[in-house]
Amino acid sequence: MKKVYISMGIIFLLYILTMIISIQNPKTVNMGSAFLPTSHEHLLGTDQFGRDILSLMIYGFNRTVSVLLAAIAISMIFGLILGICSGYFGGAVEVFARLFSDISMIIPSFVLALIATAKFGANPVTIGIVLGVCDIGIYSNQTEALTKKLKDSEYIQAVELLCIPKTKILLRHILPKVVGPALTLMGGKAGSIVLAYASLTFIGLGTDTSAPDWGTMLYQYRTYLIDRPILLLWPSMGILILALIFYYAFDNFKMSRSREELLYE
Amino acid sequence: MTKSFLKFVGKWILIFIVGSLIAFFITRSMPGNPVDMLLGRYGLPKTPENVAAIENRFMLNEPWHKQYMSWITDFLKGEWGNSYITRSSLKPEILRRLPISVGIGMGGTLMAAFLAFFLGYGASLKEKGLWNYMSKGITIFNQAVPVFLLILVAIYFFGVKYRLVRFFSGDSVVAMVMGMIFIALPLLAPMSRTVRVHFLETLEKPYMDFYINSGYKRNKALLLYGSRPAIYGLCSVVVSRFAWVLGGGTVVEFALGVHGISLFLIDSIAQRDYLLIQTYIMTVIIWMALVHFIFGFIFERVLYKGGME
Amino acid sequence: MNNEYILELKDLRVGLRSAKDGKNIIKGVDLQLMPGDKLGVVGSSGGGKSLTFSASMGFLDQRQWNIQGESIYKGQENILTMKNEEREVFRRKKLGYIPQNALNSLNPHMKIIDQMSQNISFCNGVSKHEAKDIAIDGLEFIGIEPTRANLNKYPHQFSGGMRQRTLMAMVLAKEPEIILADEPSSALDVLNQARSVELLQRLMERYSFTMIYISHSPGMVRKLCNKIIVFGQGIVVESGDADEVLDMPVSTHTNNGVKISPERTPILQVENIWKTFDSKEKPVLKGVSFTLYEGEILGLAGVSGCGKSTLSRIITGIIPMDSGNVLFRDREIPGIGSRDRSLDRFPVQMIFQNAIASFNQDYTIEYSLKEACIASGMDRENIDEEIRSIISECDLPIEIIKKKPTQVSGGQMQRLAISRALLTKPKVLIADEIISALDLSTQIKILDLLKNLAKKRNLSVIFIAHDLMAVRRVADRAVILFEGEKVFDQEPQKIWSQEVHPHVKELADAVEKVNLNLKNDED
Repeated sequence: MKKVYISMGIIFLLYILTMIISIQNPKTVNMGSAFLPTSHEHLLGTDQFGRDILSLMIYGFNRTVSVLLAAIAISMIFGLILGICSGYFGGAVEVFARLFSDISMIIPSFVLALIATAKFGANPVTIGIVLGVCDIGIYSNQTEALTKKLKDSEYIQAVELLCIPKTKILLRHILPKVVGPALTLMGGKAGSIVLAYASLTFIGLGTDTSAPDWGTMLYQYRTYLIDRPILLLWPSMGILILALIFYYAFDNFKMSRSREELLYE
Repeated sequence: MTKSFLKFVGKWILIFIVGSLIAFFITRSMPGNPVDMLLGRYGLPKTPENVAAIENRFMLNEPWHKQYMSWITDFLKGEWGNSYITRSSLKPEILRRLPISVGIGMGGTLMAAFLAFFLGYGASLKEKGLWNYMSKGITIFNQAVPVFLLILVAIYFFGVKYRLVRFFSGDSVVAMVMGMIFIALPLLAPMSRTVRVHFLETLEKPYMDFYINSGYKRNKALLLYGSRPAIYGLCSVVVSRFAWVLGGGTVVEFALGVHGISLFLIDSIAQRDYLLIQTYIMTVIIWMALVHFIFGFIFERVLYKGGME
Repeated sequence: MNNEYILELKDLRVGLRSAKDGKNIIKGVDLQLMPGDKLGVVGSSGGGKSLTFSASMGFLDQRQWNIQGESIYKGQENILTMKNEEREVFRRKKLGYIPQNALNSLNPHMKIIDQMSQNISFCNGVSKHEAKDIAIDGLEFIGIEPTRANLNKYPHQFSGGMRQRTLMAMVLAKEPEIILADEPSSALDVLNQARSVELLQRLMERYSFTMIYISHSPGMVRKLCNKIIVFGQGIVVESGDADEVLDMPVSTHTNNGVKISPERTPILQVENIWKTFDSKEKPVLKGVSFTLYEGEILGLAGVSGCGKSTLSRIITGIIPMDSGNVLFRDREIPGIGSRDRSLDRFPVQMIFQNAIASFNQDYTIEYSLKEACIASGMDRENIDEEIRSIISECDLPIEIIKKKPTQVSGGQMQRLAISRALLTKPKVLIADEIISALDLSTQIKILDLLKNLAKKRNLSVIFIAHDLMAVRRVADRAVILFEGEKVFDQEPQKIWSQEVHPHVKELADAVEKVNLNLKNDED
């Protein structure tokens, strides 16, 4: 658990910092200073438009983490609530939950997010919300299945027989047991959200090309793959490291829960 | 048996309705005024008469539920409308590209499944073995590297530098094969982990102990007699990926320039031809229903005849 | 090396490599078995019976287990140092292992006839065709007709007892020289236990083999074996001929007779319960009725599948019934989750078979006990004192509540489950097979505890079990179910009288076969 706190703490801290401080305006275009090598003024050099790459990276980091926060918050919170209620109470709640998750898993989230970028522009919060809503189904399905299994277990039956109030049962006996697998799921999904956002901005519908994300950077630099590959290195590394941090932070849960997680893919 | 069939049909009809409503509203809420666009395309000046004529022609001044009903009935009849821009019918375009998307999607999935079976089996045998490390490594790689980046690099190395493959030559076979490969790559890892998990579970079952205690070789017995759970597990992953085939291949189609239905969507949106969005979403829903019916409903009965729970 | 012995264990010691104190679990076992011996191995759970023989046959992974000493087969090879090839041959041809988990040892994905043929062909080296014939013979031997329908069945379509015997047939079809049977019948009910014993006896008439039979039922061992060793705490505490070692009379308590007091008030009435689960065609319960009187202990018995567990869950409201009534003092018991359900109005509590699983394993026992107290409306100031007193009444040290369920033994956990139930001051207690998973001596202690507590608090108890001896020991009255119907409703001793339902007679006979002869202590 420790590495979860440390890694998530670092990321969160950086996120707050990058919102407050900004080094240089990434939008400043200065064709005269194109392709500058690293210097103390431009720690990572400049690109073909003379923009400071470090600023671009920081900007991209901030936006990517915004997407992550929005998506994870929505899908986990609603997914857990929906899953627990539908698994424990069944009936109408279950029917609704199933239908909701079926629909949300059928409508391709990527395409939906794509359409959203066309409409709202590449706004991280909007994209985060779309991706989050589409993932609620996965969390609620897994949580519902687990809750159902728990409901049949003897300790829940015992506790029901003892007339312990329902809210207490849900909060103290069921929730703690479903949060772990949900976090594992989240750890796995976080990487794919980072990648999805990069792909969305790579395709670039509705993006503001003057304020690029990591994906747009890769799109804009792709023609320099042969001559100046280092340009592509930075955004690639950014995506890689961010995705891997989540993967490794939640790895502990993963190893022991891999069975459940993979079965609910 | 018929009861579950009715439930199935009922569920999908509901999904169809909800999905079509969503599709309809999304398309209507896209930016841009269709009247202005159409005036522009037809080259008509914006006079009140022309505006009225356009609105009448395309039913744009009717209340939304009438527009919805008219669209959905047309759709069910097989008339999928005309593009705002090209004025030609959307239907043949869609039907032309659909097989391509489906082809690379299903082909890639099957490729991945085949390889994943053996990779997963090998990975399950030894915790610290080569196969397990490979499977873990590929998993991590997939988590962190977006497909379009891989495609970029592949194009660079195989296409430009060493000229082994001609990527954008318009050769559809090459495009399809490349498409399948890049669809397969991200799937290989998670599928192999699923296979591995199933094999590991099987290894812990008492009947495997019995084989070992009767003198069988563990690995051989696992592969020959204990594969069923892994195969079932793999099949259900394959089936759920089949459903994702449309939409899931968007990035691949974009990066490789494969003329599938998703690339068509992207191009359309880029040109503000939003009408396609509706039809695209409906096509996806119908495809999913089809897949779930053929594989989920029918296969399940065949496959589970002998199995247990 | 003495060539006469088929198996010789020399100072066998077994311990976990990961054990911090380096102590061995098995602390030095010596044993000599002649060909044709039938060795019975008994002792309480944890004494080391299974572990010793698993080790002796080379089943334990030597990376996890530290095994010292020798296990010599036929005076020639040490099984523990065999190479992989030799070991495979040994297991294939010479050893017949019937595991504890025999019910689940069949491959669920293959038809019975296919896996039997495959196994026989593999072990005996015969062609598939011949193997199939041998397999069919084997099935006939255990009483399964080789009809087309049966041959095409999968394991889950056979009952537990049949799977057990099919596995035995498979193992025995290769006519191994030495058979190791590890508690092969402990998971079965009395009828099937008797059938298994019978099967082995018939086999002994057919050909000569050596057998090691591990069991915690001295009665079965006595039927089958000529030599016995008794295990306790990792060493052999007694050994010798069967008759000498097993000279223990079973003291069966006659109950104190049913106190037919003039005011026998009914406290729980079960009327005409019907229940069918959707997937099965036959109803599990077919109009079962009985009455539980205040202050009595009612034993509810029957073989697996007779419906007793379902009935207990219907009574407590865990699952709904199709039709019928369950009345507590003439009031209906609403199901769990219904708003009318409360501890005051329906003080019916249940104790489950798996005590550890009936507690939330992430919390301490203290937490679970306090939770129960709060839910029953107890005043906060009294909680600690109540817990203290009940714990000591159940004969447990107070420190135990600070532990978590997995840190506590099965027997202690069962008592904690009883204390938790008692904290809510119930009037009716349903004990659902609470002793089946425990070894004999612990079973007796729990039974006595239950009886004492019930009498002290004037509790009415429904004691569910498949072990008729336990019912006889503790119950004032017995109800026996057979295929969903009630076939017996009298004092337990009457089970062995003449005028009973044929199924009850069958059960009574089976109990005699499996246990030693009943000696009635006239109290």
